[in-house]
Amino acid sequence: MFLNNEIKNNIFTALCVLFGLAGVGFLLIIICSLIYKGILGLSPAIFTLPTAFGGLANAILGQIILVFMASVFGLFIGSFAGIYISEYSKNKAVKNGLICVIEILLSTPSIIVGVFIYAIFVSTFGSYSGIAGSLALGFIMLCVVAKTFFEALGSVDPKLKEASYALGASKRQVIMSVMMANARPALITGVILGVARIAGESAPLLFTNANNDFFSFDIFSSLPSLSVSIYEFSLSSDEALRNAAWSGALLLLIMVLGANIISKIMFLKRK
Amino acid sequence: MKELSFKVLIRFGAYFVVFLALLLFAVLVFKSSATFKSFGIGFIFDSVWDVNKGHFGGGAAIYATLLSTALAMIFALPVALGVGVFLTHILAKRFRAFFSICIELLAAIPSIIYGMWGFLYFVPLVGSIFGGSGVGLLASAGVLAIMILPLIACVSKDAINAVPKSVVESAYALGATRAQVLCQVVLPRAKTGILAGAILALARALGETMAVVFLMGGVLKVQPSLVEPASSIALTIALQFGEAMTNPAHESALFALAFILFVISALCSSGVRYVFK
Repeated sequence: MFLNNEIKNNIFTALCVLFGLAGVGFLLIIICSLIYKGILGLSPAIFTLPTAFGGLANAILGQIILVFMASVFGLFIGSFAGIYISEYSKNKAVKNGLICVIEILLSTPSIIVGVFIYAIFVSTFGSYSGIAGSLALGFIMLCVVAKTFFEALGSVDPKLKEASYALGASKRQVIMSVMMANARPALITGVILGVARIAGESAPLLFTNANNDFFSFDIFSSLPSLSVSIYEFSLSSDEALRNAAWSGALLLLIMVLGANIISKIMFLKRK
Repeated sequence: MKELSFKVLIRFGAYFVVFLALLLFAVLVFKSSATFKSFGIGFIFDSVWDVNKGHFGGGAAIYATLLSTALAMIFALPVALGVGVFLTHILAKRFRAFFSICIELLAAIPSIIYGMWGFLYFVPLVGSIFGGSGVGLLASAGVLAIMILPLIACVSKDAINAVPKSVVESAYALGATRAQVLCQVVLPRAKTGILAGAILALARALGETMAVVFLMGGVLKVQPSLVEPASSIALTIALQFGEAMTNPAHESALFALAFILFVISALCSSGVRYVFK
């Protein structure tokens, strides 16, 4: 061989450095091109006019309502399921089965969640609605929250649990006041990541909530939504609307990455 | 009383999740049964999809899904391993937190943004290098690779970190170079973890919808060229479901595609659990 070990080692190191920088480079390229394209379309109209007139104000508001309703649903059911898996399932097979179910649901493509909610909810009630949209988003959130809860509660020191039982605390008190408090940073991080994840989803909304071009707070009919508005604007032939789509994408990115960075900082501080 | 209601609530949450999962499976089976009844298992291999004649075959969509995912994995896996090694063994300690947060942020970018970005910057690049329109399997695979890169990189970073320090140090003490230590000692030991990350990424790439909407073109036929429009399962559902709501046979065929996609992704995620055991 012409290549001795030293040269091979240098090639290997150089490749790894190149790939590592490429990974960070992709992030920078995407963020920079989004800022570059998004700033062009930013105007006061974006924040004041509804999507029917080329703004995004109703979409932002509608997205907040959708994500809020979805988070309430996902947070309650998801946390209950997570606590059950970690604390109440005594049989190992049951526990493994439940974890398996959660992981299968977690990896289910979001478009399938969309058509599922369409089949059981939208086609039963006959119309797209904000409730159906938030159920679809909540379904995704639920799995993220459940996984976060059983992993975080599972990593709490058993000695802490035993000590509180020894002091005469009931199971509910141990879980709610001792274990949840102990695992709080991990729980909050997981919840923020879950919210950020559903805030950026659009595929499950296509057939459940669809979109509304005007201001609307009626959850029994279509709500306006930011991600679907971006999708519709970006396919438009109108230059101004396409620019508005880029501004919307920039706003979405700021929201999602902002939530992620906050959760990361909270987690690092705790360590 | 409080104790009991708490227990009931918790139980309700867990049963509800199982109920949802069963319901999802049942709905997919029930809705797709008409298609599988009339076309049989041949639906998977038949590549003719003609809505007007009422003939449906999933072959073309399955072909595009599997090929774009396979290409994305081929692009992403070596780069992601490189990123993992870079983050754990090459980068100076004080930069590690910053760089890994950057890689994790890459995973958090919504897929619709990847789609818009890819359509504006990546598709013309592919078109000018390989000819054709640029929209197609290659452009989708390229952007999917960027999307799944951080998933594999983060999991393999953790797997590489979990290799005991003593093993790494004794390999260095024997006079091995960094490339030898990593390729012959560390990476083989971290293999299961890396495999689990790769399977997770596979599931994500298979079901990706919004990015692919912009990048694949949406023409439902078996497309041998990588730079001409094609259509994956998720894309076909996204594009055709709206018009299929009034046509039961069409809707059922789309549910059959959804069922196939669900089964593939369920197999992937049980694969992760199998690998970890």
